[in-house]
Order: sequence, then C-alpha cells, then structure tokens
Amino acid sequence: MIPTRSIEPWIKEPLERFVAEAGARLTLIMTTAGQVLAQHGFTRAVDVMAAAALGAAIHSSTREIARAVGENEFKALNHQGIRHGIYLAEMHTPRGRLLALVVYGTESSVGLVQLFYEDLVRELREACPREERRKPVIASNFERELDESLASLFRR
Amino acid sequence: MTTELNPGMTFESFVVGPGNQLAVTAAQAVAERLGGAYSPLYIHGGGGVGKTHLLMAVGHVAAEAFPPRVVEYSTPSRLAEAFNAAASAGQSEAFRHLLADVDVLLIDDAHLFERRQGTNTELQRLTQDILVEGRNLVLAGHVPPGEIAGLDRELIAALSQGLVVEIEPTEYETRLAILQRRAEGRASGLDQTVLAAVAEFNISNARELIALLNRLIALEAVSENRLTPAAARALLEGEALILDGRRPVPSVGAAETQRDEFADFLSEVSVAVQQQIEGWETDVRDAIERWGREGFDTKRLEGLLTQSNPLPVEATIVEFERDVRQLRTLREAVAATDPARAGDPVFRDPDRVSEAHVLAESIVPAVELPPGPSSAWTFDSYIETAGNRAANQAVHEVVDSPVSAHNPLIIVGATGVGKTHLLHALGNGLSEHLAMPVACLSGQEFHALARRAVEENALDTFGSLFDRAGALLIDDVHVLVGHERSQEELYRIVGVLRGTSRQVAFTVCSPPAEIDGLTTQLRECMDGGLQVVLTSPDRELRRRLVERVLRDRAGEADPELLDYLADRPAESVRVVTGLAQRIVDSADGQGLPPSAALARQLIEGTIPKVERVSRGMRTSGVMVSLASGVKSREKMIWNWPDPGERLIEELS
Amino acid sequence: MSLVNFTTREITCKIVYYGPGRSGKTTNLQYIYGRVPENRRGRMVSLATQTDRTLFFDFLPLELGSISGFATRFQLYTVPGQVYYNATRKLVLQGADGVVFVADSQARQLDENVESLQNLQANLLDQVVDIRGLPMVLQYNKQDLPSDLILTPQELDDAINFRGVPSFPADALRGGGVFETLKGISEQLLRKLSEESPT
Repeated sequence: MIPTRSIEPWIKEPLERFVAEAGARLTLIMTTAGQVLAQHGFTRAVDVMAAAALGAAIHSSTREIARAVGENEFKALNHQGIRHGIYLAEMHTPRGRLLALVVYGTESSVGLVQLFYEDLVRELREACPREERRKPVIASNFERELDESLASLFRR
Repeated sequence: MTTELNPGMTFESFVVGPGNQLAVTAAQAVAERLGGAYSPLYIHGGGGVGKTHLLMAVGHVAAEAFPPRVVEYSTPSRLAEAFNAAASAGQSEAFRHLLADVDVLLIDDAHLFERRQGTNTELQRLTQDILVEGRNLVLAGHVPPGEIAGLDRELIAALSQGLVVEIEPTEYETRLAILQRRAEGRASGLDQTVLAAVAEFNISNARELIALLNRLIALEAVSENRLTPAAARALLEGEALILDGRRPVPSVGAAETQRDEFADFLSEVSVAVQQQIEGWETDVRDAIERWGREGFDTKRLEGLLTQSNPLPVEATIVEFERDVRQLRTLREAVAATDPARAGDPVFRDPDRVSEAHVLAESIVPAVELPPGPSSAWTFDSYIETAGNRAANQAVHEVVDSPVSAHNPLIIVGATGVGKTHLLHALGNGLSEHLAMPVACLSGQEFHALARRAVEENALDTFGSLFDRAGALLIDDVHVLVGHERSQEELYRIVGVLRGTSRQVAFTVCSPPAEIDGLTTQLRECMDGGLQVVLTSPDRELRRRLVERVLRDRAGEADPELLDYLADRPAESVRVVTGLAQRIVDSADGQGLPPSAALARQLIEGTIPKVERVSRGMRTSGVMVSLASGVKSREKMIWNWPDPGERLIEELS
Repeated sequence: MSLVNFTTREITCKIVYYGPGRSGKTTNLQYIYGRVPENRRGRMVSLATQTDRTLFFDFLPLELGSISGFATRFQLYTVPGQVYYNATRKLVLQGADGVVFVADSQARQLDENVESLQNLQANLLDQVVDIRGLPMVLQYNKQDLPSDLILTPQELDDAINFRGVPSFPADALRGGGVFETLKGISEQLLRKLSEESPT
C-alpha cells in the first residue's frame, strides 16, 4: 500500500480520496514556495525535493507570463506525455495559496484528474483549520522549515 | 632576420621633451650625417619611453636618404638564431658578409645579450668592423652596457666607446604632448582639461598612458555627457593605483561616481571586446594582405572572417603559413628544372598542396628521400602504462605541436624498453600531421650513409637528402661514439633543421651528459628540448604485453598465467615478449593450452613426469631442427635446473 | 551557449550569480538595475517567494550596444540559494558562460559558502563542464557588517578561493563593489573569447 503522508492532519484524508478516485500515481500538496505539506506515492525525500522545487518554479514562471499578458493567473497547467501526464494547479485555502502537483498514468486521464481535483479543493477548504497560524518566517529559519517538512514526511 | 620598420615611428611623430632631448638629438645626428658621429650610439631607459621609436626613426631617415642606405633592425635573439643557423650550415662567413653590407645596424633590447657567448664574440667583431669602416651601429636597451650581465669587459668597452645616452622617465609636459598628439590622431572630442588631468598621473610608460587614453575615448563615445576632468580623474585613479601596485577601495557614495559606474563598466567592456575581436581580426587581415601580396590564394583566411564559429584563428593561420611554405619550396624546385611550369596556379593555392606535390614530383627529377619510419611501429600498437605515460605524452605533444612543444626531444632508455617503437610511432604521427616525409633512421644507418658520403665526396647530396624531410628522428645516437666525422655531420644537419623550424628527436641509451665520446657540439644541440626516460616495463606493461602475445597466438589468455608472468621482473619489452612466445611455443609443442603451471615448469625447471608427451625422441633440452640448427632451450631459462636432478630423470 | 556569433554579429554572455542563500545575489542585480539607464536594460524578472527569497531566478538583460560592429548583450541571472532548490538551480545554471560567486562574509556562514561552492562544482559536472575552465570571480559581500562578525577578504581568499580567481570585496546593499565585480567577470569572459574553440 503506497503511503499517503501529511504533515498537517487535515490534508491526509481528502488527499487519499483524491488519489484513489483520480487514479493518481504521485501527488504533492505544497506552498507556492515549494514547501511540501503532504505527498502521495514518493518513496524518497530527494525526489520530493526536486519535484517540489521544479513545480513551484514552473508555477511562478507561469504566473509571470500570465502577468505579462494581463491575466491574473492561470488556474491550472497540464502536460501530456506518452506514459504520464502532469497536472499543476493552484488553490486558495484559508491557509493561503497552495499548489497541487499531480502525476498520473495511462489508467487515468486529465479529465478524471480535473474532475476529482475540484472535489479535493472543496474538501480541503472545508477541512482546513480556521485559525490563522501565520507565523512570520525568520530568515534563518526559512531553509530549515523547507527541510523539516520534508523530513517529517518520511519519518517512520 | 630583417624586421620591417614600423611606419608610424618617425622623428616627426616622436614627442620631444626634456627627458629625451639629448637622445633625440644624438639619434638625428646619426641618422642624418651617417658614418661618423656617435658610433656606436647606445640609448637606454625604462619601458615605453621611446627607445624603439627612436631606432626606427633613425632607420627611416637612413633608408630614405640618397643614395639609400642598407638598414637592418634586429634583436639579440634573432641575431643569435640567424648566426647559429648559418654556422651549423657551415656558412658563418656568409653571415658575416651579410652584415658587412649593412650601413646602419639597429639592435633593440640590447640588454638581452647577457648570456650568449657565441654571438657576443661575433658581436664584438662586428662592432670593430663597423667602426673601422665608418658605418653606423645604434643600440637600445633597458640598461647601459656596463650593467648588462655576462658581457665581457672588451665588449662593454666596445659598445661604450661612442655615445651612451639615457632617456629619462617622462614628465608632465611630455605626457601631455603625447596625449594631445594621440587624441588628435584618434579624432576624439576629449577636452584639453581632461587630457591635462590624465597627464598628471605619473605614468612613465607611454604605452600605458595611451591605453588609459583609449579607455577614456571609448567611454566618451558611449556616454551621453561630456567627460569632465573630475570624472576622468576618478576613473583613472583606480587604474593608476593598480599600476602603482595598490588596489582601489570600491567606490561608495558620491553621486557623480554612481552615475559614472555603468558608463565606466561599459567603456571597459568596449575596450575588452575591441581588443579581442579586433585583435584576431587584425591578425587575419594582416595575414591575408601579406600572403595575398605574394600571390597566394587567401580564401581560407578570408573564410575566417565570415564564419559564425571560426576555427581557432591562430592555429589556422599557422597551418596556412605552413602550406604556403611548402608551396614555395615546391615551386622553387620546379622552377629550377622547368621555369615555365612554376607558374602553374596550383602552386599558389594553399588548399591544393597535395596536387602541387604530385605535379612537382612529376616535373622534378626524383630527389632521393631519406629513410622513413616503419609502419610496423605505430601508436596503435604501443601499449601505454603508468611507467611510460610521461614519455608517451611528450611524444604526442610533439606530434600535435611540432617544433613548438619540445625541440629536440630526447628519449632515454636501456635497450629493448621500447624507444625504437616510440620513435617510429612519433615519425608516423608527424608524417601524417605534417603531410611531409619524415626522416627516421638508426644511428648505424646514419653513420653508414655519412661515411659513404665522405668517401665519395658527396656531402652536399647527403645533406640535401634531409632537405625534404619535415623532421629528423635518429635512433640510438650513442652508436656514433667514436665516429666524430659522423657526429659532425649530424650536428650540421640538425642545425639546418632547427634553423628552418623543423622537429628533431633522438633516442639514446643514457642521458647525453653521461655518454663519453659525444662531441661537445652534438651534446649541445641536444640541449634545450626535453629529455624523457623510458624505464624497464612495469608490471602492468608486462602483463599487457604477455596478454597481447597470448591472444594473438593462442586466442585467449589465462589470467593466472598473466599474473605469474607479470610478476617476474624484466629488463626489456623484448625479454617479456620473448618469454611469452616461448611459453606458447612450448604449449603448442605439447598440444596444450598455455597455462601458469606450464609456464612455471618451463621457467623454474621442474619437469613433471606425467605431462611429458613422448615424442619418441629423447629430449634433453636441446632442440634440433633442420631449419634453425641447434638451439638450446636452456639458454633461455631463468633458473638453471639442477643437472643432478635431470640426470636422474633421464635414467628413470 | 556560444559567446560570439560571427554571422549575426552578436555577442551574448550569460552570467550567473551563484552562492548560498541570502548572500546577496539578488541584491547585486537590483543595484545594477538601479544604475543602468533605461535604454540599456530590459525588464528585470524576479521569480520569488512571498518572503522575497528567489524561488527560481532573477533575470536582468543588459543591452550594451554595438561594439566593434557586434551587438553586445549581457544576461544576468541569479539562482535560488537554498539547498532545497537544487533542482531549479541546476536549470538556471545551464548554459552559463561565467559565474559570479557571491559569498557571505559572515564568519558563521563560512560552511555555507564552502557547501555552495561544492554544489556549484557538482552541478557543473552534471553538465559535463569543468569548473576549472569556466570564467569565475568571487565577491565577498557584506563587508559593511561589524568587523568582529566577518572575515576579511584575505581570510576569505585563503578559505575559499581555491582557484585563485579575482575576488572583490563588496557591500551590495549600498552598491560598493558591485560594478567592480561585474567588470571583473566581463574581463574574464571576453578574454576567453579569443581562446575559445567551437564545440
């Protein structure tokens, strides 16, 4: 059974449901800075790190292009390969903007992913704790926070 | 030996100031009166004060006088080279005569005469000749004759007997004048006040001063505002401090400096780009002009200017010049035989060198070629291991950059370590790279040829044998010990080759300095290059040699056998391969594959009773065959078996 | 990336500012942006997190105009410094013609500096680029901090300037040393121009 792990408990169940219904192989839920909050399907921390950094980078450069053409933002991005597809989308939660990076195979499709993604977003919004735990990020802590969330996802 | 005089360096373009007034006057006197006044004239001073400029100026006036005088501009190194080349070709007299025709001899960088004993003697003689005959000698150097290290007293006296004058470091007025003249020449809009600000910096070297000026001109070209003296000062403070040896503190604060930061950056980049781009472009254009003038087709060089990814420029120019030289040689040879055909366009097209070779060969009576490298020994068949890597690398460097890498290359090593193989591989590599024949022969062959030439009084033909060779490689030079005549001939030929920029390489059994019986001349001509040593084969090499033999002959190599043989020390490659061959022979003879056990028996002499295959013939280690007579196997065994043992063996 | 294109008569240089997190790479570019006249630069693109950490890269294109008939452009990039973002850092490093390594002069950041240099070497190796052949300069930033917190340029040279490349003390916030560094790397780059052979 491929694990679904989450740093914050409220993400875990909605994510598990999404994965099961959409047939996703890998999924990451992260902040726009690439800090991972939950993951499914990854077995190694290094892979998560790379995927998160790249996903966040893609998202930020897409936003930049959007801004250049006068769009506020793009909701989602989809890349279709031969064996896999990648779906990268943004969501607004009381916790702020989050990103979802989904990798799916031939047993799923972008349509399926999109469909159940809507559900995921709704569920996350509902499950999200209301208190604004926005602690200011202290300079020296930034990198440590990135690493720590990664570490806790793979802690046994 | 001649260098053309720089057309920009004349008396008219020389800025006179208090520091150089005397030198200029003296130089003019020499130039105009010729013969007599101040001979020799020796000008000394630091870098960039104008010594070369004055020398050239004298040359111009002399050359343009009526009747025009013969002017020669040279440096100590060029003189030495020319003299050595002539001397080794047995033509020192011709060299002296050449200089005897010169009316005005200009020698720059005279402080470089320091350690050249041979040429110094010549120089002294020259000075005397010149003075006696009323011709002119003008020298320039960083220090006065008395301070040149290594010159003997007589020569110092000879050089000082005319006028020795110093050019002092420039002062403000001279610097300003230089800047003004230069700025005019570049049609720049730089204000006088800016020039004055620059002249304030205590930079004695005119070249550096002009470099600073160039930067300012570039800066002005790209800024919107006019350059102010303050800005120029600020800008140059950094530069001047660096010239002064101190590092500038990064500028922080002042609004004016801030505004100029980017402009400053821009101007520096501009200058850097200019230097790089225009630098090589100029080189290429110069080469095109020069060879075009001589009638050669320069499209290969022109291509460099238009390609998007140009080939390494310098290398292309060097190759081009080499091809042109070949064409010239061929054309001259053809002209000597059949002048009409020498005009054939193929001799003017560097891209058709091979065609030119073919054509030349068909016209010119075949000139005998010297013996060349054997195709049996190439780099492909040379096994490189840690023990011979340095030597192999040096050899490859020579193939890649003949003459400029290591000339001469001396390979030192005992017999059988692979010197000959490496030398011939070098020859094959060079031959391919240069697309020219390469002379590669053993010391014995050389000696035989030389001796015959002496006997038949045909030394000229012997010498010309090596004319067409792109390089000279001699194996086992030490065999010439005791044959001084041959050594002399070798020395002469090497001299000619080195004088015409061609590669030379030797192999010897021990370092030349340790070989008794080598003439000093020959020993000397082996100096100045690189000596590499080939040692006895190391373990890895032994292993691979054996492996090669086994694979070639038996199709496979037993690792245990390889290790066993590799472990045995050996003095030479020959010994190793010989042993391997023997083992294979023995194995064949017994109808078995070669193995470690077999090898052990053979070498260590234990003869097992079981594996003896009866041939119906008693063998006692002595083999008899009709073809090769009697061979005793025992002669090649490492450890002699105990005869007592064997005796018992035979009787049982 | 090819430095010089002789057919189109263009010179393009990609200069990447590398170094540990928060050493001042982005600050360098911001200062340059502020000092370059508008007609000489393009828009500066900064892909950053909400807390102003470079997330992907900063990009500043400089138009230097026509020099010796060649349209000359410099493209300055910074990379994210945090170890975490190595994947994207590698992307930005691709095709770099020269590197400015911005080191944090604070004594307690020395390890980070060393790690980042090693990371640079490793990433270059991935691209089959030999760091020894890559034009590079070092900038020792934050020299404005109290002297008991920082190492001197000499000490930093001893500690991290393995290749003996030109090094420049700097205070990027106020601009000291920023253009000197840029000049330094330009010189190194252009010198390589004449030695470069095509691949």
